[in-house]
Amino acid sequence: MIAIGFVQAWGRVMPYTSNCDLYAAVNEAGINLVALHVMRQRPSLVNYATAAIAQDPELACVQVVATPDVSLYDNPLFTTEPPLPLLGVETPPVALNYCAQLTKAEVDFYPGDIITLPAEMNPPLAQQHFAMTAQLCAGLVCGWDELGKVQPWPPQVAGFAPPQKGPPFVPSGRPTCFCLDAFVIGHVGIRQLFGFPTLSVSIDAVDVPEIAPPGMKAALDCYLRDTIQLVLLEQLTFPLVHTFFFDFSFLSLPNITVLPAPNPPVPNNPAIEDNQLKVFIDFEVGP
Amino acid sequence: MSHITVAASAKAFEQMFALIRDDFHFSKTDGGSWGPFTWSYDVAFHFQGGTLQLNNDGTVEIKHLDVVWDALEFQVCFELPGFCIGGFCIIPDPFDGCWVSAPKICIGGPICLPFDLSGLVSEVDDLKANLLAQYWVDPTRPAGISDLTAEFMAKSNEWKVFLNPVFVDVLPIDVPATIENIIQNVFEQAIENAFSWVPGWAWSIIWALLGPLLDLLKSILGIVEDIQNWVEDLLNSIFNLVALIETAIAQDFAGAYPLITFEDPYPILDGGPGHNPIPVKIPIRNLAATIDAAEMVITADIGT
Repeated sequence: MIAIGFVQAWGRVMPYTSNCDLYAAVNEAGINLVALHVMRQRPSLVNYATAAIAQDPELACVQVVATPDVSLYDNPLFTTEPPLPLLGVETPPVALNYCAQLTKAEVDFYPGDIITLPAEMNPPLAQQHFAMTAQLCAGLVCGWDELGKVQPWPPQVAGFAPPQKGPPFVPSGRPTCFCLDAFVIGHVGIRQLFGFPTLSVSIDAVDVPEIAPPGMKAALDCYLRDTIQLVLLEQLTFPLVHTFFFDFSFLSLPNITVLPAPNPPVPNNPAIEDNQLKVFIDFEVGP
Repeated sequence: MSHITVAASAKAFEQMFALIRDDFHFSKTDGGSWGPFTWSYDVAFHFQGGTLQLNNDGTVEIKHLDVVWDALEFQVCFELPGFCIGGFCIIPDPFDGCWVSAPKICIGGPICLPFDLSGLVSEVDDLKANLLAQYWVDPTRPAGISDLTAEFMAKSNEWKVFLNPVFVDVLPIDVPATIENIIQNVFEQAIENAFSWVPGWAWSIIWALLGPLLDLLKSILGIVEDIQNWVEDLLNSIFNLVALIETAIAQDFAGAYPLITFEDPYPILDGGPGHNPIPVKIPIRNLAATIDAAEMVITADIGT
């Protein structure tokens, strides 16, 4: 077994860089603080609502916590989405206000010692993996009390009326909310993105234990897995040259080529172990 | 345990050092007086080469670092003692006086010798430094503004890691033995330039009267050693260029040329046009930098 990192091997402390040129690691407590900062500084990344709720945040299922800079620079708390249409209701169209919020996110790097995974996810957490738990809250404005205001359009003489263009009728009110805990298992890899080796996350499984029946649960799990995978890919990838907050200027020189340290001697790169995410980097100096 | 750990091998550290070494440029102009002469200089240098070693005592040691003098120009000014030639009577007046006299030529007064030894290479024999992590606050940052507003005003706080010299040994500057010829030519040229009105026929007489120019110069300036040693003393002791290099290393390496620099809070997600959305920034706390024989290690925490 090859010892990587600052561990005891044959009674001797090994350097972090014994098998690479640069080493970077961040532990789960650090990542969880980063997640908190992201949620507070860019709330619209994790809070989605129709315009009526976005303009009156008191209506949201959970109050959005944001830094003062968000309001100072007139940033939105929510990403605004169109109301949810009632299918088949077209004369006039009617749609419902809703919101969906990620209210808590926590990461646990192998070995899993923070998050208790549900039985469906075959705990304990496998080597070189991370677990994540997220609380999702969502709400829908039923609008039943206002549906009496909806006046069906008169049928046309020629038969069925063609769909009319125009904004739908959207009942107002406070949403009926629920919260679910989702569990995620994933791993981290290095892929070429925009021409650079980049740290990216892959989601292996998602489970929302409180959902039944099985088909509905599978569909929701699938929706969340797709969403989380793509949000992380689009929003949270880090080129290897930006090794966890430290930009080594020389890595940007034209004669320097940055590479992930190969296997062997580094068996897992990136590695998730010792409650940390670790990256091992080599570089070559060209002419 | 720190939230973040970053390590750079000796190979990576060499690259980091090479960047600040190649970035480093120093220049200074100064002047003063010393005994019978006044002096001024205009110097500039940069570093080149050097071998680097990381030590278990928490230091990095750089040996045989070349000091390349991009400019090593100086001037020495003094009073040339005055004397006259000619003026004697060719055809005397039998009653009194002189009917025809030879012209009288007097020289003497201020002379300046300009030297240019640019391109000379001297050496920092040994430089030992530890690492110093500093938190820098822009002194012009208005009070009470948020870190984000400070960034938009280009007044962000910064973390910097410097090489902090604890020992510097600079070798004295050696000048080539040919300096004697150079000085003789410069002195001769300076005299001719200063008294350019002297007719050509008179120079052979003047040179004969002045005697060996280097002896004259030594006599005027009170030089008791050979000229080469005197120039080296001039550069190393009187101009104090050795101390100048030591001070430049101590002050600029430890304060102006960081190994690593990044703003705090550190942006991890870019902002959009018109600050919508604002960038997401992570506060970095408790930055520490250490070194041992194998690597440099930087640790830090993420603030709340």
